[in-house]
Amino acid sequence: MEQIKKLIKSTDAIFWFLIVFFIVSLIIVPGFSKTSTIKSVLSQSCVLMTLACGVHLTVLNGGVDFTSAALLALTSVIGGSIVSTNGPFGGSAAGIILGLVVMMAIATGFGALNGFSIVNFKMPSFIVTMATQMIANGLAVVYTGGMTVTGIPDALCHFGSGGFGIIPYTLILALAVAIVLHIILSRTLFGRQLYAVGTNPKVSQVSGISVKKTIFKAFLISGICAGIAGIIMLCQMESGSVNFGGTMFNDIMGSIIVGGTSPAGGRGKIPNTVMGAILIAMIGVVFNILNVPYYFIILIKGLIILVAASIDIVAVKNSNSH
Amino acid sequence: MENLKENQNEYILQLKGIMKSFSSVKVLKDITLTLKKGEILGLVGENGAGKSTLMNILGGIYQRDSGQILLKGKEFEPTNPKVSGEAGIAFVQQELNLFLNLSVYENLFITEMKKNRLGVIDKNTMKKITQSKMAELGVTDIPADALVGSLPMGKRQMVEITKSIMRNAEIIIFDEPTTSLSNTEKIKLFDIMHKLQAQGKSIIFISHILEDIFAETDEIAVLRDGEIISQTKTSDTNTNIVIKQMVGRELTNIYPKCEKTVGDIAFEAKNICQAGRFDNINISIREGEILGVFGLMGAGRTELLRCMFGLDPMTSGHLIYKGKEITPVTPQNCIANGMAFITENRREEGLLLPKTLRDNVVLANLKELASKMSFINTAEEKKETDQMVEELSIKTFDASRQVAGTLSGGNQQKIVFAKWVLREPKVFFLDEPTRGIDVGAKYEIYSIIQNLAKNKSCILMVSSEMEELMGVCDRIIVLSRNVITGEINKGEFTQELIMKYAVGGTK
Repeated sequence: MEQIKKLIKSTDAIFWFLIVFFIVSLIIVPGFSKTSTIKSVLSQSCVLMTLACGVHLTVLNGGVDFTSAALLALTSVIGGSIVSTNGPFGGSAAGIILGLVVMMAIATGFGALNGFSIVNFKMPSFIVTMATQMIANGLAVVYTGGMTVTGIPDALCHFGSGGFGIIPYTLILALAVAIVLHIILSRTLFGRQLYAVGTNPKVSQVSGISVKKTIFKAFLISGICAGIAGIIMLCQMESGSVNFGGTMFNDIMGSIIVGGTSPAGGRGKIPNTVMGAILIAMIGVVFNILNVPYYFIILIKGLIILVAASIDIVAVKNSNSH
Repeated sequence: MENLKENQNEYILQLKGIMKSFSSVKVLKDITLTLKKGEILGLVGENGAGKSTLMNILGGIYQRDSGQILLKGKEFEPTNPKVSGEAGIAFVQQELNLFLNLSVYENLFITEMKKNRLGVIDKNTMKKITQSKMAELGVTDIPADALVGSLPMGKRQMVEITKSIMRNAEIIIFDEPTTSLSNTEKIKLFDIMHKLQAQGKSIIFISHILEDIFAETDEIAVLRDGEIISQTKTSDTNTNIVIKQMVGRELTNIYPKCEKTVGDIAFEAKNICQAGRFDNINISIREGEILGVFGLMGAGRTELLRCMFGLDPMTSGHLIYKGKEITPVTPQNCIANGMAFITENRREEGLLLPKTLRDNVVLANLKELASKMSFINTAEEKKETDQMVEELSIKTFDASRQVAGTLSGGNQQKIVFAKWVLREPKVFFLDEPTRGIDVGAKYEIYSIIQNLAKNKSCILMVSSEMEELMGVCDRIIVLSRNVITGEINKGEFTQELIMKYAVGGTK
């Protein structure tokens, strides 16, 4: 009994929120228990999950990363055009590999650009990433002239829509990213440094941690995650488009905050952000099935985020007191 | 202000049987305290004795578990700070509650801005009232529209005090008000305290500096382990008695005796220059030597340490340890070469307050705890933390769960020491290592410092307390306006000589 009590106390609010919402949906929403619906939820959470995990690192530092969502557009159109059967490689394996590599390079490059600018020019991440987001979006539009990229090879499409029964292949990739990041944050030197810098950069510097290197790495990793998310998006949507990721920023921050990570920085675990992403995706699917109008969905999402975040903050306050 | 004809002996505040626990820790066991109208009551006690908790209860920030509070003979419930404020209790906290980005008059009127007939904010009236209130306290050199952030600590404190009389406070509590003040500012502060007393206000003065307590108070109450051990007239007691009551044991020595040998010169800072400030400063420290640095406010002591540790830029200069130059001069490199820096600001630069003790203790040693694959060895981490907690006698209920921000000042400082001691550095820079720490914990910190010296470290210690330097150091250099004006060896320490160099006289 003691063990169970301990487990309940140490589990964060988001977990219960997710479970409750899931169960209520199973009961109330028609067709929710169908495997295809569940698979859809899991599928739709993949891109969000991967992006949110990357941005999570930047939020730990008290910052933001607006670029991630925009990189979905840029990488999907450039990568898409390289892998495409209508493209220069005719959909061959070489083309696929090159395309994926280019996508990762672009995303990582933007991550590095963000990190470099923030650290060397001492500009707030808010401004830097907003600027690079606009650059990324602009480049995507210029590259395609607004046209959608099609002709994505079967191999990639299969990856995007197939799975082991109810578990999509893309989910496995997304979860792999989450697991790696979780291990990095909770068990490695860099993880400790990031939490320390996010809590108090002055103290960290006096204690010998390179604040600059730590912040740079955080934004670099966020870029890498955006690249992976772009690949997932390309495979799931079987196309590349400048419209990808358009309104996703709200969902990204929503996943992170509803998971209980403080925007002020210094604390917050990856698994919570993962659960937050699944919850946000679930909300989207559920309200779609219920034919709720789009603007109403946004309202509900906002309310749920507000409630979940307050519960968690109160819980943290109580456990930290005195 | 109500003008009751009150008997001078009437109590304005009475605390009976106050108890308070946090989780299972009993912080206040049975507090019984009285404050007479128009009296200055000194409250002394070790850190962790419960002073802050008691004051926070009076101020409505914490709620007591049981006990009675009587204000002017009537039951009083300080349910929150607003209630407490309206009842006439004002706090001048150690960490001032001022908005640095607002002006003086805006800070004073922040809760109730004055408006003119049109409903628009009336700046002129507010400024006039501000000036007159400050004048009542004898403060005439602070402009009402000055940005608080631009004022030095002493003047900021004056603003805070003015805030309390604006709200017609009858009881004013000063919590360690002198820690950031220069001597002239201190004198001014006590002057104001007595002026307030003359106006009929009652004052509780919390301080570690017994010299000040004995000079300024009418009664002294000693708090130890959550109980008021004694409350007596100041004239009926003396320093030795009070120290014994605070600590519960005879403290025959304030400064520990140390048997050690001082070796050859091991650390040298040569020709340290910083554009606009330092011009060829030279310092050398022997193995096992504790070198004190004294200077008045603004002399450049902290700036010198920061410069030599790479936190502020060094235009030119060399740091050499045992013949090997430490270059480049950056915090990481200095640390890697066996240097350590305990800053004067533990809350802002020394500790991650919301993180656990363990997180803080290992903070400077993370790289060493990481394996080749970068994984942190948590078992080793626990071992090191426990070792430090034991070695430095740090009071905590669980180092892996207690958050640094909840520790007493003395214990917090020990955590900062632990962080560095863990790395076994050979060169220590200490900036005001015992600031805001009580007598008992100070002794423990001095012992820690002496032990480090015994183990052949070179120690550079900055302090504003002359007596402390004289009691602990082997040699003292004096800084005045960014220049070393004097150097004195142990046998020749005198207060007059040190002060002479500090105000600018040279050898």
